[in-house]
Amino acid sequence: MKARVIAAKEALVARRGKRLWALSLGVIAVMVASMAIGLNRTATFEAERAAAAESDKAVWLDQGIRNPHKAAHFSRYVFKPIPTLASFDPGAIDFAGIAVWMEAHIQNPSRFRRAESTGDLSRFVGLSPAWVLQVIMPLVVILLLFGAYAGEREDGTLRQVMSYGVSPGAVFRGKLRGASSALLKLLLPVFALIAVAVFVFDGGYPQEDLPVRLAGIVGIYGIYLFAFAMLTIGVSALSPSRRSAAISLLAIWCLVTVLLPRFANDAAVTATPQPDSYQTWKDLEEIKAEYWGVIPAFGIPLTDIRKREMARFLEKFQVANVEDAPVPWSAWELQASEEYSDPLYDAYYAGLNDLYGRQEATRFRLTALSPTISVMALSSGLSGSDRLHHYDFVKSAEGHRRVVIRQLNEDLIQHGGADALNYESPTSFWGEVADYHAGPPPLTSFTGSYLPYLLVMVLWAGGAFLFARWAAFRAANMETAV
Amino acid sequence: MTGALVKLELLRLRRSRAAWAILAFALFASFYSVWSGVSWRESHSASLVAYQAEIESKMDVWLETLAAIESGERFATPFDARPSQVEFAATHPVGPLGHLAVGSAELLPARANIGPLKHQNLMVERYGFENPTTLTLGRFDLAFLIVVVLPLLMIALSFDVIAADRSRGTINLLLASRASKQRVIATRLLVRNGILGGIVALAVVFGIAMAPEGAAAFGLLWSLVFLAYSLFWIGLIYLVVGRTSRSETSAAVLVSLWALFTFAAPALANSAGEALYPLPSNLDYLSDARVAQNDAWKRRPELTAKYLSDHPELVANEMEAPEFAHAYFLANVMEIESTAPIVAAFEDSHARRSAFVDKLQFTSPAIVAQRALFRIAGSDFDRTLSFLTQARAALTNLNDELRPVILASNRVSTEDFAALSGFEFESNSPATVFGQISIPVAFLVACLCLFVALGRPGNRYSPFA
Repeated sequence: MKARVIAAKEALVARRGKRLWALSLGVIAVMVASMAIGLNRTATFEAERAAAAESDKAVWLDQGIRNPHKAAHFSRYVFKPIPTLASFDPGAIDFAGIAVWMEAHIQNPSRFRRAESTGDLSRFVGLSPAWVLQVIMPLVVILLLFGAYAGEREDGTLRQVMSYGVSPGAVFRGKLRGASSALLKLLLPVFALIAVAVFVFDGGYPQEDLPVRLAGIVGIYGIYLFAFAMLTIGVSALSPSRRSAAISLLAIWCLVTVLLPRFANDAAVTATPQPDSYQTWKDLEEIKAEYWGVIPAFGIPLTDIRKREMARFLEKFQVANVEDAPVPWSAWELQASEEYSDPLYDAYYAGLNDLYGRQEATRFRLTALSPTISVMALSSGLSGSDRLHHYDFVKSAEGHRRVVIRQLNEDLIQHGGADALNYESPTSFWGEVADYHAGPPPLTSFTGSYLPYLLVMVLWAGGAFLFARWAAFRAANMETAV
Repeated sequence: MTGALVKLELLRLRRSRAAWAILAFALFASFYSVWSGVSWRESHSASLVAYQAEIESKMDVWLETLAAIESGERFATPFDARPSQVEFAATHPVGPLGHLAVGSAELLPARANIGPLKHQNLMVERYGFENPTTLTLGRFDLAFLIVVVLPLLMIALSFDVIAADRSRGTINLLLASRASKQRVIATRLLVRNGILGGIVALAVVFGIAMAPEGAAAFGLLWSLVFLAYSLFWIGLIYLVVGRTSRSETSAAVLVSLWALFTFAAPALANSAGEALYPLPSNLDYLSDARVAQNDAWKRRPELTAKYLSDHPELVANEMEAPEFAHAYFLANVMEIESTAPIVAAFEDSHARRSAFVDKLQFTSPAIVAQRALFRIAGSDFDRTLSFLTQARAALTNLNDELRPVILASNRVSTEDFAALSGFEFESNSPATVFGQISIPVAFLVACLCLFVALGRPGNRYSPFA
């Protein structure tokens, strides 16, 4: 009962002070602007992707009669779909390639990172609704709540309340309800705006589990901002005045939301340096050359692997010479070389992925000091714009490359005959080669990867709650003691 | 009097745990950022040198084969020492102070292979293997520390420079001496921020000392921007703390201005630039390039025949070169020609966007400082764009020089090979960079002068009036 009265008083003070309304309006204005920018970018990028995919198909169909292996070197591109929620949190989308060339013999990296053409200013900050919630919202929470206990103590009203026999627990519960109510009033319109924007206006690639993802976003930001609210109440309860509370909280905000995420990032790449691009490419070319020796492999002795494959070929067709086989050795070997290299590429890219994982593990360790690092990881994951979703696209593109190259090699095997190198597929064949249709993966594919971040967020919120409770009880008891 | 104020301030700072914490953080963060930048620079530069050496050694072998064929010491197969196999490495070296401002350098291409079998689309060596998650936030380099973190540390040290005396009730005692309020504020600000600035300046000097030879002039310019930017913030803090009576108000106003200048203004300027001057899509470029390659592939006999009918003197050749050498070369030349409009449109849009941001930079001292520091360091986007433009020009030159021998299936002579253009990156001189940054830096100094003028007691807008 007493807690409800205190909560009602908190709400009254917030209404009268007009701070809540001013901050709400300010936040909604920034959210509308950032959401509009995000929607426009996503729709533009998705339209570009669709146009590029169309153009790629048209060029592919229009190549005329051609040797299927030459076509495999020209090959096709796969373009990454931009998910709907990228307009809320672009995450790593701009920093990961958006097109994969499905060339024969080699698994190419994804290319055309959008961040490469956005200029130097984008290195400051990219304005997005997620960024507003990660960096600006905690500041708003601090501005709303920094005086929760410190102001009452400074004005002498905390002692007055305690003298009426109100228990410290009731005061704390009242403050908690007041803070939750203020937070809800601030967040409800924001989340409503995001939901309307992504469901009604978005031009991104549809995500089948959009409602689940959106619910997750609401949940993690709710926990994140609750943690900040509790931290603010705790610091306010420990501070002798509004001034010292405001200053301590501003310092915490800067450290937690601005400095530590950047520092954690730098520490991650310093501890585990980024792969050297040229060396990585050389390693991939070495995998390609492992089968062939040197490319072009005209007139050079067969590698041991080729000799082994040739023996397998002769045994399979029960012939003594390759010329006696019913299918051309040169065409059969092309597919054999692909199948030889595929697991090697898988292992190499998995190794790269492990390296990225180690970098992120270093970053993760600093989430103990900054929940912003956790919320960034979870937010981009739920939006489908993080590295894990990108890696899934890369794997899916590679799977499609193998399907396409196999189709081309099999055409050569079946129709190439004795002069396979000069065989040319008819124009009608290009239409039989499969198109890439995979969309963004479901969230359930990555649940395990996000659980540690979620756990840290929950621990942060729980710890902040306990801290606020302890500090509030201490403050109330000190007033009673005096 | 000033001497006594300085001593008092030093004593107060010595006793303040918060001040020690801020200064210790500044010391750690600034030297960490230099160390981190130097380690990036060393590994990146070593990788570029290794790439250059590898291509050169490949061409040495090619040249030896050519010389052996010319002298008759070696029998030539159709695949030996063909002009289509000529390659030059084009590298974008780390800027003179690139370790102090990694900026976009870790994101952008730095190697290109200039050769007739490389078209523009594939001329740039494969890159982009970095972790996109870690690229998103960027590095904790010295430029970030100076532009974003330093003002915040200055605010943390200075927001209560006079309000603390007010709240303690010692202001009247202080002003009872002959010291004026503005002198007290100015002295305290200079002492507090002098120590902080001194720590960061040490890191700047250390960072400049770690630069390769010949970077002294750039180091001087970097120091100039650092000084102007730091003084701008001291001037702004001087005005705000003099005008506000409560320290929490000073802190709130200063942090708001910091957030406005370092977050809001750059984000809005970036978004406005993207919206008003959109760059042609990379995917459009790719589509055009592939259409051109496909066309060239289909028309290769016709194109070769046409060229050779225009140049019948080139038809004589000792031995047929592989057909794919012609085909690739022609496809590449056609791709360059057909994508020229989109490349030009990209460069034009970028130039217009850059000019727009040049004007918008005056809305935020942070943008001014960042652009200037990146330019001096040689980590700016324009420098990479210039590298790519120079690499494209080198490829076109090489194609023009080798076209007759490739299409006629002849070999280039060792003498002609030595005369080929190759690639040498031309970067901006200190004088050019000074020209680029002089107006923005003058703007920071002008702002400082304005703050000082506004702060004079005789001025009606002075907080001390």
